[in-house]
Amino acid sequence: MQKTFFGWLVVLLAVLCGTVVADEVSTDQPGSLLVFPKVVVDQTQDTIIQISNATGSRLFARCFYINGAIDPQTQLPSWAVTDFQIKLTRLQPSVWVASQGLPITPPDRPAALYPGPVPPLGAVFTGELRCLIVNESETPISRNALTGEATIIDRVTHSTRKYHGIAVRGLPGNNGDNTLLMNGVEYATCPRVLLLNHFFDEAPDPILTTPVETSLTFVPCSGDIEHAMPGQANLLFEVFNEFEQRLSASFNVQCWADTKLSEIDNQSTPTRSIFHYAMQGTLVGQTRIRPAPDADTSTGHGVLAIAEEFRDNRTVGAGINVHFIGGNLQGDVFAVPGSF
Amino acid sequence: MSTMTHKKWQRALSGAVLGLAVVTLAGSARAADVASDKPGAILIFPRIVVDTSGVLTNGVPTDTEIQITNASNSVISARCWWVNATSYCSNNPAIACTAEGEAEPGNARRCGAGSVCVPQWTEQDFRFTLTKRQPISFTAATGLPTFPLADSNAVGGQSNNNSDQTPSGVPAVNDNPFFGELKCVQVDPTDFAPAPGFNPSNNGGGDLTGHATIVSAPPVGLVDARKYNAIALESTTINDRDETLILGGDPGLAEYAGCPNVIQMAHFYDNASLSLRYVGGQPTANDVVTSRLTVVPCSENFLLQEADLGGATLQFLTFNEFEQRFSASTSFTCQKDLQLSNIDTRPFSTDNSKSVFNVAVQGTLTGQTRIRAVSSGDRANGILGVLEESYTGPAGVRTSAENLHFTGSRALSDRIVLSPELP
Repeated sequence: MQKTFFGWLVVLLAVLCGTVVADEVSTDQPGSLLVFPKVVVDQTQDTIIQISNATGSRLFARCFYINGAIDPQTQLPSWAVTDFQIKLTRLQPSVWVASQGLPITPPDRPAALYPGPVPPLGAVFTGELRCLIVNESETPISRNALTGEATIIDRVTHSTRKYHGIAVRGLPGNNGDNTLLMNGVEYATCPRVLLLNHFFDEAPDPILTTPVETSLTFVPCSGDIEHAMPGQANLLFEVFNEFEQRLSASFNVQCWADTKLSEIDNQSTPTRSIFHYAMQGTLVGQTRIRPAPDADTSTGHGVLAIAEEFRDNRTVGAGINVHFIGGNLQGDVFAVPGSF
Repeated sequence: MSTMTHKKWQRALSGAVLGLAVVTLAGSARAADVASDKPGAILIFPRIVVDTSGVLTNGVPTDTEIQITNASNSVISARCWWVNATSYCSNNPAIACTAEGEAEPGNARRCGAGSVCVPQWTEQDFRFTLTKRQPISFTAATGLPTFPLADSNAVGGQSNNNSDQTPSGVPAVNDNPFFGELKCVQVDPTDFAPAPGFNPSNNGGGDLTGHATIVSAPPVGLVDARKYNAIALESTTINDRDETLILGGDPGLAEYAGCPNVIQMAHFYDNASLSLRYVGGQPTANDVVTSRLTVVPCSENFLLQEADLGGATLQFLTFNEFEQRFSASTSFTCQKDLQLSNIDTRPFSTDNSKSVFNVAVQGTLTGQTRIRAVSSGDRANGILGVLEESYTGPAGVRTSAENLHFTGSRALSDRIVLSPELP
């Protein structure tokens, strides 16, 4: 009888555990960690950042600009980090242009209502921005209050490409240390699969008839700012065209990557890429992107991404938030430096 | 404790645990989400625009490209509805109009004196079948009369023909100009009854994803394109397969995710001025930013149509960068599509500077606005929407579209009543 009792207890626990839905990253709902995968400042582009407090009480956030621009010495992403803090009163929105930041002295309001200062970015910045909710003593806390948008402005073609910041939800198991575990206990897990619906590169736009191009920007979920160790991921791509034909490719991301679709698998001859219209023969495709798990038990290799779609000879563009499916099987780790 | 008493106690405890397990199992419908970044069983495109001659879009021919994808590894089918919310002149049902266009001083009125611009509401349905992982695209003005695998001659034998051997097809929208929405519901491919998702990797929540790109292409000048993700309502995996879809509310009855309690949008206040552009390396005149909000009701009745349009009173709270709060309200049926500054002022531009959504009133560039639809006695009256943000400069207009943020859920449910599948 005791065996029966414990048997049913096990069944109950299994059912209860099975009904717990894993928290996942979202571009629709507020979170405790906000990731903007692409922020650009250069001679022709700039980025408008909007961050809002979606709750009715004051919040503090630590933010990190992480520069993924190629270091001319090493030909690798520089992964230089600039951090700053913002504070937002209840339901307060904030905005700044990345090249200008927000000045030290509030230009137009009392200090209590000023989110800044925010450092201006240098002449060449191509990287990401992460903002993490902390308490007044800079301890990370799970309080899902941040939403954000980034608009990349092309100063020459005048195109605007806007996307939502990706919100990672904080969970009740947050221990408040500076090693953020995206494992479904402290923070939501990064996605298991990223799904991109796209036009194949150089496919004729159905309305304009000019070629359409798509770029993807990836950032690894893991990273260690304390030890200046960027995350990395091996990504597997499955591409389906309108005839349900399937082709695959792979790509390695170290720190930050921004690539045209057809250069993922063929940088020399794009027309031979599986992401190219000449290869696929149909206008649109569905690409499923999966970070390859490995034997590393200390950190996962999840990624976050956005896409940009260009039309009319790249004179007009649109930002796209990709779709997410499920939680990554390996938890990711993002370590931030502590106060000292 | 005697052995007999002990056994009774154990039996009672086992029964209690078993009962709890059964109750848990019965109520174990998954928590469903409404999301623009996940697949779902109901797909909603709140804004579709077709005006290929540009009569209502400032002379700029405009059309909408739609992408729909099967995110599962199974064959799926969908039933869809073009919802036509184009307005027409009260004295001439052949002339399309917009309330804002008719009211704008200096515009040539399309409806003439004594006539008003009246919204209409009609729907046109269609259905299609997608093979495993298949993406399709089409423009709203042309539809997709022939699907990629219509001939059933693919190497693997895949076919877009429906299970009753009718061909899949998407008709062109039945109006031009057309302002409206597109709704698609995932159905069982064998009998076209509403169904939860097939793919366990999508948690059974549904397998449809989509995007819409509104493209404005003037004969001369800047092309403008803005893209948003379709909004997906996940299935709870409870589904009685009838033609009334229950969105949210009682967890024991809800078939799909409920619409959000509050919609949150971060935006520039209308007429905010930004210096962002260079020509020849020098800054040009500032861009002026304006935003356009489109909302659609979650409850819709495709069976009774005009007898039950859906809609709600909308309450707005807007917070500027100084944490100052203003409010406004408006009401709508079927679809509301208007510039932010026209939410609380009349539908023309000359009084926009008096709006709480205008930089002249707020004094800060950006704001956060929370939108709450007022529930009725038995209906949640949830809404969904998208925002378009236009930057107008010396060179022309550039627009980006964005999905809105969602917060919370409602105790009441919304209902979508489908028009019947004819034999």
